[in-house]
Amino acid sequence: MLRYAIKRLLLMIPVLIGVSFLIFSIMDLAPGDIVDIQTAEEGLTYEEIDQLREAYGLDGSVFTRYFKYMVRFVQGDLGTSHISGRPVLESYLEKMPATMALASASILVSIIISLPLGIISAIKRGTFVDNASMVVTFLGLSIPNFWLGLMLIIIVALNVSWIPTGGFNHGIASLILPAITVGTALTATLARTTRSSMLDVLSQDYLRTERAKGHKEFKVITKYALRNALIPIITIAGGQFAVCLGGSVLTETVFSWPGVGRLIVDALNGRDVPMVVGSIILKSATIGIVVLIVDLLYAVIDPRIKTQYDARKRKQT
Amino acid sequence: MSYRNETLQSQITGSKDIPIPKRYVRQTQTRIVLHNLSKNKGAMVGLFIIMVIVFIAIFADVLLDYETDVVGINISQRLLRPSWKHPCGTDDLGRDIFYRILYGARFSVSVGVVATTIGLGIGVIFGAIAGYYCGLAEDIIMRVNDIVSAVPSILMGIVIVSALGATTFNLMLAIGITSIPQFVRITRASVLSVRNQEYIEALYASGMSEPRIIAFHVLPNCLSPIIVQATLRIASAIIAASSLSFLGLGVPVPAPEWGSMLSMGRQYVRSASYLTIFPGLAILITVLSFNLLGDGLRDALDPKLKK
Repeated sequence: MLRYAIKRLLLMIPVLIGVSFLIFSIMDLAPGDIVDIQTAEEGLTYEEIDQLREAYGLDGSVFTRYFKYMVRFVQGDLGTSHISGRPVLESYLEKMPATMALASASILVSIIISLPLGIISAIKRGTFVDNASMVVTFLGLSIPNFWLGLMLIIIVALNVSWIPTGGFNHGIASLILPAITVGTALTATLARTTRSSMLDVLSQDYLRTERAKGHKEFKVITKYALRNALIPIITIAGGQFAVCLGGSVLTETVFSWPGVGRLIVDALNGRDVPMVVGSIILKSATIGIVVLIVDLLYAVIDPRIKTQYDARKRKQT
Repeated sequence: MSYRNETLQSQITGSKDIPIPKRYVRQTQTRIVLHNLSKNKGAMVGLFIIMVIVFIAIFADVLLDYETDVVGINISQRLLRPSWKHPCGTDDLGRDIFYRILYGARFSVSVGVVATTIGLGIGVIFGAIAGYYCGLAEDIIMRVNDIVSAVPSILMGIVIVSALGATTFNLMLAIGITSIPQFVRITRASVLSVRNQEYIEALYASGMSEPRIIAFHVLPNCLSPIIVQATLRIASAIIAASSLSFLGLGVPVPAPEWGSMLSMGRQYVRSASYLTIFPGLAILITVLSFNLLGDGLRDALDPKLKK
């Protein structure tokens, strides 16, 4: 399994190099750079502007600049922000706690709502409950995230005074609205996955055997059926968690959340190339690693997959 | 009941109540799909709403006068609450929100459709090449695809629009590019399942050129998942477009794009909440309709998937 994990990590390297080059060249297409923004109002001579460009490392073709960037990148230096002058990695890690808190809370909200919803609609398939919950999930899929956030602000700001509508300074309470906002869209997908995955399992013979053994229906569903239905559910939930860890730009904007999503958008607005490229590399790497961890989790849930890993190892040795 | 059965029945029973059709109606694949689709209530509701929205989008210029109704500033009428005269109220410049939402259908629908078409066109071509030729071409296409899809699509959209500039066309292009990877993946998967079938081999043996085989014999057999994906993708493209406009990176003001209306209404979220409620509802209803239709199409095109 370790071998597999290392192989996957190594495969991420070319992808990340590709991502960095892609973002680097798109940013290069942009008319105007940080020097233009900074010198727009000061009357600098051409020589001074050229010196400033050189100081920021903005002279030369896109390939030379990219090469220089990568040389430093390999040495573990993600560069420094043109605007704040601080190392990119430091600024990114500083924003991580807020993003991490939001991602965890959202996925928790999503799992708490969607698992029971999906299981119940699978058991009560075709009934009113099933149809109603599917309509709700459809609404959840179609609601624009930022609009839901604004609606929550309107409803809550008018009625409940103790729930803050923005910022990260009020402890758990400040998480409530953003987590519901992000969680709702996740809930919709997760509930639908849970439902279809449970439907696959519910029709299998071994559940009848468990019932015949005299187990309570609740135990049959939660212990025997759910465990076998978990893999697709974990895949989706894990993927969602990974994306949330990369920061949800819109929700962070609506709730003035100091996360990595805002960091990237602000950097983009200021044409802060090292910040943008560095954050996007870090973000893609985070997503890749979380997805890998989820894949490895399969082995924990499903002994059959673990055997496959072991069998592959035996074959190789 | 099909016409064939009806005819048989009338021949057997000799009943004159049942009309005898002049010709048999051939059961084509399209007819079966349309029949399945017409039985799905959700999809039909979705289709109806989409038709209404598309109608409004096409005839927006006939229904409304852009200069006076949509972007004309009338300070004396500013921030009026919803009433009979202004069903959704007026904004901070005195423009009628209802009219602006109607006109905004034009932007949302066109961005959704054009962006999806860009993604579909490029994605299907590369997906088909990757699936049909395998080997080096597949490796290159799929690795590039991995790279593009490693960046979350909303972020990719933001990067592209902020680099190229916030115009309607760049918005379409950005959202189109972010939807390419999905189409590549889906097309490749279905082409892979078709390419090894014997009839393809037969066509190749009979001397037909490979691009021709792909275009006329492989792709038509891969259409179902692509159609479903395209319909669902229009829904997410509309959300993406309004998200980018909400961040100020979409259709430039004063055009009444739903996302930028929301962004403007955000300043008045406590005092005039109707400024944010109605444009959001418009997005919700449109996206919901496309999702309903897409889901219905999936069931109709592939009854095996229906659970």
